[in-house]
Amino acid sequence: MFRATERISRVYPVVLLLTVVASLLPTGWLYWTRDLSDVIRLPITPVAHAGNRLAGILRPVDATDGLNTEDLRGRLELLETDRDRYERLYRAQRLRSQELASQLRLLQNLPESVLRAPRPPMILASDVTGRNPRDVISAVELDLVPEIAERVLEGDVATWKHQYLVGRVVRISPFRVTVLPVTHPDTGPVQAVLVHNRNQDLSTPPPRLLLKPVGDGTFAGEVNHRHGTAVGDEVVLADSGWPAWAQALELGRVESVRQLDEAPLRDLIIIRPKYQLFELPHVMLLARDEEPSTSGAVQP
Amino acid sequence: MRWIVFIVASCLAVALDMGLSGAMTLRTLGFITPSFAGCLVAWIALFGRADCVLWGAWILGVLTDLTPGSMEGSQLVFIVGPHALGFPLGAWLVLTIRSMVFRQRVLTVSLCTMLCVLCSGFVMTAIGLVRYWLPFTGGEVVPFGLGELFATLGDSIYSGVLAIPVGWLLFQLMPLWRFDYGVGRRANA
Repeated sequence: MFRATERISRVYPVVLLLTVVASLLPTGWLYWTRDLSDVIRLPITPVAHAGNRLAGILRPVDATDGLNTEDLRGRLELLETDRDRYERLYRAQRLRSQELASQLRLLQNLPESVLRAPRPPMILASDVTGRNPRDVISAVELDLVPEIAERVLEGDVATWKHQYLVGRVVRISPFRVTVLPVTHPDTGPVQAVLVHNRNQDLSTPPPRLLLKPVGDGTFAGEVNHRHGTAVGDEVVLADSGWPAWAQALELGRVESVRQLDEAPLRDLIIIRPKYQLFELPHVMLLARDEEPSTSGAVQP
Repeated sequence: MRWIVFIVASCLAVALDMGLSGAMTLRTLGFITPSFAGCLVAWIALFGRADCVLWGAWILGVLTDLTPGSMEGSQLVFIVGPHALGFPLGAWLVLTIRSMVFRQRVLTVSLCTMLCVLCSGFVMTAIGLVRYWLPFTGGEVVPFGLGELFATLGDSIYSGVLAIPVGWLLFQLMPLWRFDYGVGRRANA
């Protein structure tokens, strides 16, 4: 039978003791682990990248919801019609906002450079190379291709299918990009707008709410009870602390609504993102476009 | 034990845990996920020399601790310890019992994998709790508790299931490892 003293180096208990000490060090003293991780995982990342791609193939995220090819074709045609309609509306709104901005500049005697519409962002696709499938709010790491290394900055956003906001870039090392999910408590509270599915009345402003990440992959927020929030309502980002091109991206859908006993005029709502960052094989990063020549801006 | 084989297998196991295991996660059952690294620790603990096993378990634990999402602190730092202490503990338990089990059975690898993953999970939970309560550590964003223990139990059972095909594969590759410790139950008596 094995005995603890059997042929074990005397250094080993010391190493274990140091490991215990390291595991209890304050977070502020552990920044060196980032660099250590970067260096040690150099040979691992390519294999992990391939594994993530394989996992994406074996378990695709964007399932077809049980629709057959014929249904999908019909849905595609409908979406193309919707896209054309919304493109026209978008251009009309841009013209209108430019007109209003010029009037405001004139009234307030502001210089020409202010109140300009933001440039559309650069869209950069990136594969996930590392994630923890056990933890719904864990950070994920993205492949650092040269294009991303040059363009992406901390604070840029990660989206899924250009529609869903899934995370924010928190660190760019020489080897990888780290993205924190939008539901991570460290992301902080975000301001959002509730969009009713059944009420398309645009004359009344939609209810605003402050969403706090709960820590289990959902958000919690309070909204006025008279708004009649229902399960399934869409919640989109409307927070000036985030980049302009991230506004109106979907944060999630209302999962539950509960009237607060201590404040009966308010409802506590739980919002769950449709897609969580950790389950995606790749994401789209929206980065600031600084060069005029690369701009894909719509010029009305 | 050939260290070069161990290093390659460790890199592969950690890479699979970072990537492919996501396809096996049971999302409706508390995100239970199997661990390839746990299988490898159990494998070397069953056949390797004691000192090699303990060092190997520590190295593999450090590698696992430095993977993304593995118990990161609030400022995205990696906490070295949960697996770097848990895997040696699991390996030590397997070393203790290996003379009493039929080592050349896949089922034994499976059970030992469950033990190693369970140990690392318990150590992770313990460190999480200590870090949560200690005032100077900065605290983790989510306190660890009973739910985490159930998840650990699920992880260990699922890893045990995964260890059946992985163990079979490792038995096919056994000559590569060149274990210098006896491979039969009697050899260790």
